[in-house]
Amino acid sequence: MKILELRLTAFGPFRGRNLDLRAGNHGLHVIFGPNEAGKSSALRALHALLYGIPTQTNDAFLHSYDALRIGGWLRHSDGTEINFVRRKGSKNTLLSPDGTWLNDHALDRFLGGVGPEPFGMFWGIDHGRLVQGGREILDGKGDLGESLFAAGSGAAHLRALRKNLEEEAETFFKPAGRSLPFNQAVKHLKELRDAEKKATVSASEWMRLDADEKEADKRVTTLAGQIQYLGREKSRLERLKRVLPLLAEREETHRRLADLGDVVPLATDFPKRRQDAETALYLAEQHLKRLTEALQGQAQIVTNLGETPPLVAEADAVNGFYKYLGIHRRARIDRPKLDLQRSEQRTRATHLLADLRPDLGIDAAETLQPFVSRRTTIQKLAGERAGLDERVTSARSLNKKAQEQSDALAREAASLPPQRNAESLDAVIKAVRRRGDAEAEQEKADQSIKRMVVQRDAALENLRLPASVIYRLKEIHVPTAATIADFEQKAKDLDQATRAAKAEDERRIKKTRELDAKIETLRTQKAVPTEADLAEVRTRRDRAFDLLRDRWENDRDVVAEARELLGEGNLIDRYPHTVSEADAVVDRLRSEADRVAELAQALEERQCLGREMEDGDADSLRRKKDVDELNAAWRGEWPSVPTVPPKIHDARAWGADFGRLLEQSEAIVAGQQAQKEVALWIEKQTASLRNAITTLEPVRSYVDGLAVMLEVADRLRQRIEAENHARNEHVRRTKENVQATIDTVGAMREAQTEIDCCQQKWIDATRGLLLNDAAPPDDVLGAIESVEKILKALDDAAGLEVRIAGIDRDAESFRANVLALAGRLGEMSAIEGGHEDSWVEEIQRRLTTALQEDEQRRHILTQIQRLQTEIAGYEYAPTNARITLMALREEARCWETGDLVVAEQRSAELGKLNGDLAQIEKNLVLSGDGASISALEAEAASTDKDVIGVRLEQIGAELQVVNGALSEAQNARATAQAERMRLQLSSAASEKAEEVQSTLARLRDGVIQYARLRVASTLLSRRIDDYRRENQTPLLRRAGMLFQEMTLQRFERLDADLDEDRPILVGVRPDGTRVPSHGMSEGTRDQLFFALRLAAVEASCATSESMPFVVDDVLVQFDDDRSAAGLRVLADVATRTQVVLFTHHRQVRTCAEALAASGVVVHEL
Amino acid sequence: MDKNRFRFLHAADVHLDSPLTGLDRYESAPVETMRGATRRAFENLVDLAMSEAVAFVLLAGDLYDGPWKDYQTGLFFVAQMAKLREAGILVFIVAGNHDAESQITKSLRLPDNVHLFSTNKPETRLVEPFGVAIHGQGFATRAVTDDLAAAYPVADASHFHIGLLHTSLDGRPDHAPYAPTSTQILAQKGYHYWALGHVHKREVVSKDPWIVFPGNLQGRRASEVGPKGCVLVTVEDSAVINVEQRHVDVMRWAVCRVAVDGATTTSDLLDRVARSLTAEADGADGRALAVRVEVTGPVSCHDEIAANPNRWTQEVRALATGVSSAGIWIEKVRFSTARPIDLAALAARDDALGSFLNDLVSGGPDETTALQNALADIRRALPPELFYGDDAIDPHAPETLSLLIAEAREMLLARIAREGGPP
Repeated sequence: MKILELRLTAFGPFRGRNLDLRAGNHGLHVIFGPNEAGKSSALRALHALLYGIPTQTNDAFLHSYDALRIGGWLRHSDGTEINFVRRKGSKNTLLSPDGTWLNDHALDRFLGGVGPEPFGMFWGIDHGRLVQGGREILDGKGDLGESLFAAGSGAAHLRALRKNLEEEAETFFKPAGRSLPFNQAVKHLKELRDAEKKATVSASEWMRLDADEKEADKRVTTLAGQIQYLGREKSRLERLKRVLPLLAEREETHRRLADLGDVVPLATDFPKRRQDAETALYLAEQHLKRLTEALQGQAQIVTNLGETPPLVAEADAVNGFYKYLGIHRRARIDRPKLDLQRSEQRTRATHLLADLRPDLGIDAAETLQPFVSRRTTIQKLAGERAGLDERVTSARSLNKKAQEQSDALAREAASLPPQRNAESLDAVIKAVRRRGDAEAEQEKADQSIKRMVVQRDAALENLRLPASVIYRLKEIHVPTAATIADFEQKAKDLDQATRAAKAEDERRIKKTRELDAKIETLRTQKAVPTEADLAEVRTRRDRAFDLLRDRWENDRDVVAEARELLGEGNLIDRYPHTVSEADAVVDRLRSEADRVAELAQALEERQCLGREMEDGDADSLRRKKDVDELNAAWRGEWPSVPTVPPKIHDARAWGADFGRLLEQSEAIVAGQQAQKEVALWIEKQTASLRNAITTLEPVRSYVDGLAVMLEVADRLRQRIEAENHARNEHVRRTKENVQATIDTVGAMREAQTEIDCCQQKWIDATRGLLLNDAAPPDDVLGAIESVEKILKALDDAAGLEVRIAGIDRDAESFRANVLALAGRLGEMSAIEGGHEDSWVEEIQRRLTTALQEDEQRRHILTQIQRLQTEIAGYEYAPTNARITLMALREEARCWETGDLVVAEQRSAELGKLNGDLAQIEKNLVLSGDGASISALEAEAASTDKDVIGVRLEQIGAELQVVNGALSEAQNARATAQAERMRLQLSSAASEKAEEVQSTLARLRDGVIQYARLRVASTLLSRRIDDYRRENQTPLLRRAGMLFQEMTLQRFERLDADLDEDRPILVGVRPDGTRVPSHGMSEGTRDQLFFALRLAAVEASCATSESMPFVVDDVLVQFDDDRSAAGLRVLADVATRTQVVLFTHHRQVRTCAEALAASGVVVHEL
Repeated sequence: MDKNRFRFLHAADVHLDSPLTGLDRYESAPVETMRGATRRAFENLVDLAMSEAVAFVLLAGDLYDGPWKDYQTGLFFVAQMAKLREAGILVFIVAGNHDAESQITKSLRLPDNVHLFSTNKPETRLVEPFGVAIHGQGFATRAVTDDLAAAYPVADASHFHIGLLHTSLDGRPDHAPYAPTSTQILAQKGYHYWALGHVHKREVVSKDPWIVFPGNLQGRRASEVGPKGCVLVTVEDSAVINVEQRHVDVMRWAVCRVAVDGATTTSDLLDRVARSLTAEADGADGRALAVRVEVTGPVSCHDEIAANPNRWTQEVRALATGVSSAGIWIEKVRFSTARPIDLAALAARDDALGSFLNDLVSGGPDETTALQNALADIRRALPPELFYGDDAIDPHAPETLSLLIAEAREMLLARIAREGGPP
């Protein structure tokens, strides 16, 4: 099929762009689209044209989904054509150019059964897959099967695919695996089976459990009956034991009631009411008496205290003076101390001034105040002066050192050697150095040549060539690789035929032996009669009959003939024997027909084998002749070899060895020539060096060799360099010393000028401080400090004087105030004698006493008021109590209060006896288990009271035993019931069975998945081998040719080698060198994969409907020459099918344009 | 109760405690919902008998599951029978082939409301309050090949006659031919109703007389699809006036066949599967479902599926999680999708591509040996259970191998073709 037109009507960035791909028979069309021009869209369009626009597409950014259109015009190899338009959709996507629907299968015939994936995979290649294909060849170490299969299917990722299949399978199961899902599931299955078994309850287990339960139930019933009987008897006896004392007690109470007679029954609270009334009367009388006495006592105390004094009203004023008393006392103590301090400060100032300026009085001390404020200026001037003195000293010292250095330099100048120029020597040394160590190189090359000569001689011997041939090696011509391959194939074919014939011979011999043995066995078992045997006995029988008839009819004497025929004996007697003999042979023939047939077949086969062996011999002779002819022709291919030519199968190796010999010979000649040139050069350079040295200094001795001469020159050059360096250094140091001398003199002068200026400022600042104007700086600074101290002492003395005057003023004022207060209060007695301190204290003491008495008076008045109120409230209490007592006497029917107690006691006795009787009867009812008192009395009367205790003890013991047994039986029954209930509710075993099924299901799924992957992997491996066997020869031959072109003849062809019994792919260089894939560069491997792919595509075109081969930028990594070669190869492929190459590389376009003559058409997007 | 009108339940093939098979437990599978399904279905039957106040219950064989030995199963059955006894409901049972094999049948003590028919000869029990005669004979051995029905007595006019029988009748697919008989023989007995068991699919064989297989009580594997339960029969004046199916199953099996023709993407395909699952769940009366999904049809995403079917099985399982509140358990997913293109046409090409496709399956006998060798290790390691039963797998068996080869071929094609998609 060929694409005649690709119309990008509305797709991706295109609108109405048409590509005419008609040119050429099939044609190589290079579609060039620089970046952003839509090359990728065009590529997708081509695919979409043939197979539909994908549901999700990136090419609908300019046109809507509905508007997408790609047009195409295809031509089938049978000449039919179709012109159509593709639209987007899931069906009805094909239209004719006029817009009518086409059948969705209208293209099927043109696509030749090739679907979208096979088309993309097999009929297309891009750079990524090219590189991956090349890498897979490397990873597979050039495995021939994989490489061919990858090329033949277009799948570049076979190795990864196989690996993934294996790895995926092994995630589930590995023969040696331990903890993979498979092992885990199997282990889990076993655990579940065990658990299921454990949870299963067997019928016998259940029966045992059921029997246990029944037995326990029966026992519980029996024991319960026993307990019931004993319980009843025990109750009866216990009841009697309880009621007998009660019955006796009841009788006694009845008697005591009769004794008591008539009694007024009083209420139970009567005694309490009587006591309360009596107590109330007594308490009321006592309380009134106590209140009256207290009132009288309080009134007496108030009278004794009298009126409140006036001092109490002035309490605040008195307290104020008392508080101030502390301050007053403190001031009186401080005053003498302050006076002493004042006079000390003044004395100190007087002494200091006398030391400093005896000419001034203390009152004139203030005139020195300005020097204190000038202190900072004076200190600064003193500092500056010291710095200037230091500078002068330093400059002097440096000046002296410079003078000494100048003298030393003058002495050094006299001892320096004269100046020499080493430039010419330098030039010669550099020239020699550039060449490297020529002598060592010469030596090495010499060794190398010697080794090569030895190898060459060995090679000659190995190739069985005479030594003399060495000078005419180029005249010897080795047959071409093609010729050798041709002979190899023929020799191989002959060899195979010979081997096959030999095997066949061996088979025949073996078969012959087997058949002989078989025939022998058949014959020796029991001689099998043959048809001939039958004929023989029948003839004898017929002959005997003839003789008999002859004798009978003609009366002829046939005795002699008969004897001859039948041996001794009578003819008539013998004849039946001949008949039975014939019959016997017939019978045996019939009965042993199978053996007969087997023997006949064996004999037949034996005969056939004989003929075959004769034919084999003839074939063998023919083959021998063919071998001889081949060998003769072989020898004819080696006319120029002066020795016996190598054997055919050794020819490649011989050719390769001879090639190497040729290379070695040429290398030896070239090496020797180079050695001569090196020797000449060394000689010339040695002379140059010697001349250069002699011009600089007299040669003290002659030396040989370039290296030695170079060393002498180097040493001389180093010496001259050292001298020049010393001289330059001396000049530099002299210049520096002169400059230093000038600098020191200048510095000295400058410092002296600044000293003079500073001295004048000093005198101005200190004048008037001391009597001596020229005092040194330290004295001046000391004097300023003294002035500061004098002025401070005078200041302190003045402050103390002010404080003393204040104290005196405050003391006077306090005394006057105290006197005035005493007068106002009328307390003048308090200020008699003493001073103001004691006056204030006395007035304060009197105030305190007055305040205490006032407080006591107010308290008592409050008490009197309270007592009066209480007495008024209690006046009626005794009368009320007497009325209550009167009412009580009436209730008890007594005339005197004293009789009330006796009436109460009698009433209480009556109540107690009645209560006791009721309680006894109640107890009887309770203890008598509900029986009436009369019934109880009757039961008691009928029972022997003395045996009750003994009988009860017996029953208690019996009950204890029976109860224990019952408890045990009930426990046993409960346990059995619980177990039955548990089992009735349990489904543990069936749950485990469900889990077993689950695990089996998981395992089953896993095994199927594993098996599927393993089968896939195995099938793939086998198909790879099958494919290699069937396609190896034609594919390698064609791919080799393409590879040769693509590698610019660096390789001649492709071939197969064995690597550890595995066929691998090798490239063969023109010199016969065989390069495995890992010996090739990455680019070459890519080309190798490309060549194989193209060969497979061509092979496909040869047998089925061809499809356009779509190439996407595979030439990007090729250099210009290889790009051109790649294009030539594609142009070659394009003679068999259409090739469409998409590229965005300008270089590829340029190359393609250059090949326009070869039918390459360039289209630009 | 009206003496002339009564109802009874007819059930069979209970297979108590027989596990559900083929359900691999995965994370979101509704395991709890389906646990103990056969027991709970039987409880539903008992509840139904009580709520409908039936006169009696007929169980036509295969109460238990053959070799199952756990007596707890029997105890469970007895407890359920005790409930019916409390409600005054009688139960009549014939042993089926599975019961004959069961240890439980031989040793279980049944309550007095339950009658287990003799296995030696036909036996008749009367239920006098309703004028009913029930005839039955159980299986004495696992494989009874005699026509048991032939020996059943002929009916008289005095009673309403019921024949209780475990039989394959005149043969049913997937069922062993036990106690074979024919509708003619059954009809000749003159009974009003033949309560049969053994065939797991519900079937009304005849309406005159009534010959009914109620099907099994609870589906237990993918072949037992659809609603399961018992039959409620109403009799009035000695005539059957109504036979209705009552579903007592607690979960259902379904085979969900999804035709995905033309699906362009895997999400489209999964959408269709989800829709089918939803429809299936809607029709399950609110019960949990165990579903086998079969995806068929030519789809353009075939390669994506075929390259790694396991992954898409997981996707379908994940999909099923949210479909039904009762829960869906995906038993298996079979992808039988195909490429939209005709591979045969491609294989017919006489070139590398064609031979490549042909070659993928062109092995001879030595290929079988090679594949068997490749699978020998795992086969040796397989637990023996996997070689037996409905879902047995033997990697060396020819049918297994041919299935594996077909799947592996699809997988290989798909994985190889991944390179060849559109640019």
